[in-house]
Amino acid sequence: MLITLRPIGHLKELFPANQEKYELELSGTWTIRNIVTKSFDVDPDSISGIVVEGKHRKWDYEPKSGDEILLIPPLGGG
Amino acid sequence: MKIVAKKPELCDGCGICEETCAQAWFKEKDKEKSAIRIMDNPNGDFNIVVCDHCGECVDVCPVEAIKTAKSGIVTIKDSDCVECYSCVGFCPKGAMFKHPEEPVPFKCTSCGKCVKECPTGAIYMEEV
Amino acid sequence: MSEDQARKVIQTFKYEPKRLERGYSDRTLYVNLSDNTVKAKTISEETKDVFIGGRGYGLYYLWQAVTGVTKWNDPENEIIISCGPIAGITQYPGTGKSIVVTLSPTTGTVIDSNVGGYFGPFMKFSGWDALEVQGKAERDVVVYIDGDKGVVTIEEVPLGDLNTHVLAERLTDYYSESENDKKNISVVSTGTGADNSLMGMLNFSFYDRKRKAVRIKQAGRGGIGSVFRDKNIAAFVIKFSNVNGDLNNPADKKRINDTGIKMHKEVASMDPKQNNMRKRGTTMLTPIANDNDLLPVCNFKFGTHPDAVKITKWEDKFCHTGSDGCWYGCTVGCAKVVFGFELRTGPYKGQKVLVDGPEYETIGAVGSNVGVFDRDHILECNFYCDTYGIDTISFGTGAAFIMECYENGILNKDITGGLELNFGNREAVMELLHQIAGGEGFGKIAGQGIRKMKKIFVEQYGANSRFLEDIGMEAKGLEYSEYISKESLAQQAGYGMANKGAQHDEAWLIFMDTVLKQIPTFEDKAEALHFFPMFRTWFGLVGLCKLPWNDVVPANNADTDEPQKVPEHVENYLNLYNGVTGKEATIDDILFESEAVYNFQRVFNLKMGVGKREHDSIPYRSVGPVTVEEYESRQERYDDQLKDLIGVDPSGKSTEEKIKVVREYREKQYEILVDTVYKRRGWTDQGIPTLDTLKRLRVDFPDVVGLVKKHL
Repeated sequence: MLITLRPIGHLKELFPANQEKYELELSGTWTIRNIVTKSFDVDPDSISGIVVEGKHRKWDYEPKSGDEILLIPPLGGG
Repeated sequence: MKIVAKKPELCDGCGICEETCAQAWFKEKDKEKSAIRIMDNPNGDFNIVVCDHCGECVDVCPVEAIKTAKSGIVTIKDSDCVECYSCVGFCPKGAMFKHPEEPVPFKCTSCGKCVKECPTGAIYMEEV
Repeated sequence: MSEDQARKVIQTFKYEPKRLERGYSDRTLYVNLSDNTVKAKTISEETKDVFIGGRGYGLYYLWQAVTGVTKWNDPENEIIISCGPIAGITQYPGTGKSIVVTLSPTTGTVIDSNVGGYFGPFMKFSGWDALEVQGKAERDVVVYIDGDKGVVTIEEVPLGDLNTHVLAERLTDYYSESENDKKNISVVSTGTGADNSLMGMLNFSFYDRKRKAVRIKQAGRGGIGSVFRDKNIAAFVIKFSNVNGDLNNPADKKRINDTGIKMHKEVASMDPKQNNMRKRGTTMLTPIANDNDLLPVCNFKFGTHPDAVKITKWEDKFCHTGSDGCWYGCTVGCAKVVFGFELRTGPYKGQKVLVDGPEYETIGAVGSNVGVFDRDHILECNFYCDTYGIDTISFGTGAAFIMECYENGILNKDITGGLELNFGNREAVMELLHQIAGGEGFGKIAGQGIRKMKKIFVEQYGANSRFLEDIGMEAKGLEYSEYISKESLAQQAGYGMANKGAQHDEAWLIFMDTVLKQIPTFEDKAEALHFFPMFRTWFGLVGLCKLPWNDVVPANNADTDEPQKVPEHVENYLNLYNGVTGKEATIDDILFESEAVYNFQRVFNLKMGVGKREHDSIPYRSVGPVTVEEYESRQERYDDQLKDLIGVDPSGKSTEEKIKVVREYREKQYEILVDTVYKRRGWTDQGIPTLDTLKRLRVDFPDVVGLVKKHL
């Protein structure tokens, strides 16, 4: 399955290529935690929330093909 | 300076160091008032928590109540403390302590009393 | 105090310093500078129950003091400082906030502005839940509260330079007995900019022991400093020694301590992995804003700029000591500082000074929004705004408006006295600031704020009124703070519906709305526009800073049901509130408390003639593209929206035609959202709280009901 991972704000800097987004072809069952920690070796503590297609999802959520996963840092604003 | 150093593999968890420390500084046996702590590890051995005078608490203290003396030993001046407990939260070793009965946090001052009482040599004074 | 011979005490009031009980002293200090009355007022249980403290107390006392026709510079207008029950605890980050309330010179209605520094907590420990100052002094005075001895004096002292970086240091020296005593002094002051403009602010000081320097935080918004100087106040000074962690006499100290230590541990371990506020302060927002088309560039025309990378990184400029809190126990420590900055312009040219900041808002306001992408310019402007007592936001947003007018030929060098106010001209920006502060040249006009400038430009320079209404970034008379809201309908309403005017502190929904797409429907947005303003209002009732709520979060936050609300921190706040007051309040209880005060403030706006739907309107620049240049800079986005959202084929249409269609659509969306929010808040379609709403919230006082009935 093909999913898109989009780290927001300075979370980008934690990902190796500092890209806006990553398109991943995955086989088998993956949780978001596994994608972030195993595919990228990123510390989940840095991530404040996970939003998939406008909905909050938890770390054990298993994305389906076509999902865009937004990883968000704490963003309070002002 | 001389600091309390440790060889956790020699520790048998007797807790005499904790009692000695609490007695020395607070005149009671309550181990929660000790500035050295023996923690049980799940595998049956022990972890010794005591200040190594790294100075992180000196930086984080907003009122300069915590200072590094010329000797290198980090101490707290109780009368200057505003009880914010930033130091307790920021101590990387978990060696700054707060007891419900004591408004001011406390830590090891490297007095060496615990070392003298340790029956196994798990703690000792080391020049660093 | 070596200069006692020059010190002239006009009034002395002695009082018994009172120990706080569960966060309250239940009395306020009333000072009238016209007749030099100083007295204590008792706060009733009923008042405390509804208004809680902080902004609530400010609104309550101001309501008693003014009528619907009172102007900002009438003697009966008051400046009220209050911080609320939690303020002054030392164990948790962000617990030293004061709220200042007055009638604003630019909005004509209530302004509330929150600020750190030591004044508020010291005032509480000295035995006062609020300071209420009315009347006007004949000559410049200092109101001095000696909380150790229990003496309040109104005095004339030798002052000289009124600008804060000089005056606050001088008064700190004057009222302290030794270097070690300086930490016990806090000064509220402003500068010449407050004398000569309507965008004056107040600086609240705190003594930084590590740097041996007087530091400041600002009550920036809405011209409070101008009211302060109109009353001929040079400064409020307070002295309180022997701060400790128990002075609120809380109901359950252990609960507060445990919560505080847990939070410090979280900040220590999480902040370096998250926003790194301890090193970067709020500047960390700048690159995020720029990346997401939210950073105001050239009067909010654009949201990003290639040169913005020059103003996004600040860590290397800051002087780090490890404790930058503006009150004890703030380990988030966003109050960053630049040391030894050499000024290039103005009356202090050549001097090396300490600059408090910059914060994100200042970077946006005096940097990107005026088209200047230079850190040294931002520091220079930040320093001078602070010492002159000028709000960086109103100055920057106002200057950006002037620049767009200049570039459109509405203004020219004859009008500006030779200033070439093109975007990017940093020398002209600085000169404009110095002129505002000195009340000279074009600065006399620029210092009036955007709303009054629009009128002047139309009446005197023949400007097109509609264009100025579109590009003049103010709502209710308050200049916009620094976020582009064009793509976030919820944020447009967050600005437009904010009680005080266009400030983001009620609702900051841009990310939830545009990037995360979590609040797609009108009802979703209206719910967010209920929860967030109410929860954020509560911070201002109890004396808290917003930043530690959601700019650092626990490790497991993403696994909670509502990560955007940071549930563990909400729980922390309940522990603090209940731990201090002895209440057993729930989240619903505190939202109810906020809603009551919030609705009271809405009615207060009505009393001052600005509390209706028409006053919640916003400039089109904050909603969509005003000009061809703007549209074409985001042509793909807008053309797509024409097709996908509006159902209009953009091909073959001129940009002007497309702007018109987009505008009709966006303006209609805004009105639908306003309707939905009014309904959610229990207001009429004209934005007036219904009598049922007022009754439910227990603010159905006879004068409130009488006022509202006239408008229903």
